[in-house]
Amino acid sequence: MSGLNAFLSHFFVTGDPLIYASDVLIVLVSLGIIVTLTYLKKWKWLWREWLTTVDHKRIAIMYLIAAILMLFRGGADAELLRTQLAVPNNSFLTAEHYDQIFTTHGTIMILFMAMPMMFALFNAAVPLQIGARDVAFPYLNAISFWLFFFGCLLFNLSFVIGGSPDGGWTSYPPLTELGFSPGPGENYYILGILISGLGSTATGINFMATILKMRAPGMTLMKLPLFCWSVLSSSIIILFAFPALTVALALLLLDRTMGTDFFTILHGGNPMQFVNLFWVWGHPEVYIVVLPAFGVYSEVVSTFSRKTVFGYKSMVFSLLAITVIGYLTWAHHFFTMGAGASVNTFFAISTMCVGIPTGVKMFNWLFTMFRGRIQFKLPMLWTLAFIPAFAIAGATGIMLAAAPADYQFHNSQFLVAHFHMALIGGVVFGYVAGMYYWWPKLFGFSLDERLGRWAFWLWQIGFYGCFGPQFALGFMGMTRRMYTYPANMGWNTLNLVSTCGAYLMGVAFLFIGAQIVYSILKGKRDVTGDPWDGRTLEWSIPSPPPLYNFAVIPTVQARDEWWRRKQSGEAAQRAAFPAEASLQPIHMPRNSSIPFLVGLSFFVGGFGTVFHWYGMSIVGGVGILLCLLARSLQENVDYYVPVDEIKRTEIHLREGVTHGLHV
Amino acid sequence: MSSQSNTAHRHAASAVHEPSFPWKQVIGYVLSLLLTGATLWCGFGHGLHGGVLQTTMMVLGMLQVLVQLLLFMHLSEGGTTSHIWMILLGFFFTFVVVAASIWIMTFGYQVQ
Repeated sequence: MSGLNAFLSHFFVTGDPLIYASDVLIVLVSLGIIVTLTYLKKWKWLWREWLTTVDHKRIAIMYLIAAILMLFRGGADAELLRTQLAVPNNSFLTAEHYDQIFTTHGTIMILFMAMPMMFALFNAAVPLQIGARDVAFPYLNAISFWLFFFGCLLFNLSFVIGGSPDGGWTSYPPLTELGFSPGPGENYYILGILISGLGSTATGINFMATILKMRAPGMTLMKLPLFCWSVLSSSIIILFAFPALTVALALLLLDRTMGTDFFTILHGGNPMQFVNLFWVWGHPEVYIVVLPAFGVYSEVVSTFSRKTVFGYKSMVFSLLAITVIGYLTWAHHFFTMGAGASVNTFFAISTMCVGIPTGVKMFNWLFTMFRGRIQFKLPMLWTLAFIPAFAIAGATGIMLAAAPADYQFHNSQFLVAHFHMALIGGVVFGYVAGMYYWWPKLFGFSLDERLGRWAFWLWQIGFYGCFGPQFALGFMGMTRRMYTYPANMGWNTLNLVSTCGAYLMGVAFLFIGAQIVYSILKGKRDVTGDPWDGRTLEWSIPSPPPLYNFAVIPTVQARDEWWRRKQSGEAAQRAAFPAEASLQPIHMPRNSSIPFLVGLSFFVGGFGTVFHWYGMSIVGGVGILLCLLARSLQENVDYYVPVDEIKRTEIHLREGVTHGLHV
Repeated sequence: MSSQSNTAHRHAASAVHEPSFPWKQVIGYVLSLLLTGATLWCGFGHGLHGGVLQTTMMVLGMLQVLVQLLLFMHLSEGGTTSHIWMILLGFFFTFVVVAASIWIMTFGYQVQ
């Protein structure tokens, strides 16, 4: 019995009231979900319609839900960190707990919030914008989602089972070698990211193929919507950057589990190589997440200024320039680690060079707005807010890119403020804008404007209130990852202000949550399919779109094809039924349970490896192989939607549209 | 152009011609395993040292790249402009990662 007790107290994290509260909440929420699903008899529906789906629109919704939940978790972590730093000599969190929280905050926000939110937008918009019926590899798309989901689940389990990683989100050895981080936390970090990273790489390949191969007839690359261009650029970087992370983490895992010495100095290994490989992925990762946000800004600015985007070709060129130059900048993350002056100079210059195409894009957006008829709807508000935030992020980024100056700023709160300005101001603002923009397309109703404006303004005030003071704190010598500080440093007021700003952003998040709940119940239903008077093809079909997206694949003549049709009067035909002769049976992929089972097998194998229960790892591995085998031998993977069914669906959808037109 | 019709097309084509056994992929798989095994043996076998060891491993690595490109990535089948650009980009990034890593790491990090 005492053996069991010892095991349980080692297995579950004990001794912290915050964690006990989380335990209770997790159990209650899980019970709530199970009871609700059983009471409403929704299990079969959940499995058939969602867990086994290969439809890109449903996968987008699942990514979006996961991303919002993770924004909540990462945000809660941030509030805890800022609470600890609100006043000097605080003892709200212990040093170790603080370390665990900043590690999980960083990891979750980048890998389990930004990435899925980005994939949600990819899946929601790309096939619709290029006039396709799905992505190039729908089954692989589902596998990607489940690998992300189970990797994320594994990582999130760490804080109640076994203990969280505390080596920072960069997880540098030797700190993260077995000798210094013996617990399972670091294993959770490695395996969670390895598993979800496989999914991300596959998504990159999938969307590259989709954009290059699935475009509607007539849509040349130079007629591709800018969001799709940004997705293509981002996918290229994913394809070339993620393997570096996979390799670095796999080597670290071998060090920790198999006793190899890739990163242990005393046996001829080299921890700097981990730092190098990590940032070979880590810096391009910044562009992976920010480029799609740039794509969103281009779509939103154009739609809400009611003008075609200014300098389309230069926009495309600068996206591709960022893709390539962005790959040459990673060493600026370790300027202070001892490389020579020539290395530092090269990477300082290449880093500054990335600012040039970014500036080009910025001016193009401004010129698009110039003399446009701007509508200040929610997506446009977030886009406008991005401009000053990213200007500050860019200016401070150039300061950090100057190698000699970086010796002063490195690892200070200045740096923290800079990358939050870039990642929140650039990425989160863009994704939130994208969420508002495509929400009616995905769900068939709009998000409430009034609550959204509350969220927007609270967020803006909180954002500058939180990170503004941190620039100053950095100059005043406060380093990052400090869990507490003495009272006589002159940092007290600024830290308090910063914490209040963080709380305001937390309140803003609650407003977004309230907005979503309110809008599900009372939001304006989108019966036209084109609530923003959009310009690209996704607005030419009803919302939410039917399973097969386009009853007839459109033929494209212009960059803003849907706008062109509306101007030329062709769009009016949309309300009418598509010409019956043009309808043909539609070839679609069948739903499959294998992607879910692949993810589950990875989870089981990963969990076993975290605790060195290799029997369980083998079970997971066998599961993966069986899934691969089952898929290889599967014959019945697709079907045709018959013309009758298309006709019925379209009539049903048009009834809504005609109704909308007459209101 | 639309790949839906492409897929349907291929479907029809494969119904006419029996799909042949994927010899190319099997050969590629076996070659990859052999090359990987050989590289591992070089590392663990202690038969080679210093520059010879590094050169051998480098050559084996290059052969591996060729196997992947020719047997799996359809390089020999030619393609559109975008394929060529992608492959050039791939080579560029590979060169950057390898060469720049070597360059960055040559600052005498090792505890002597």
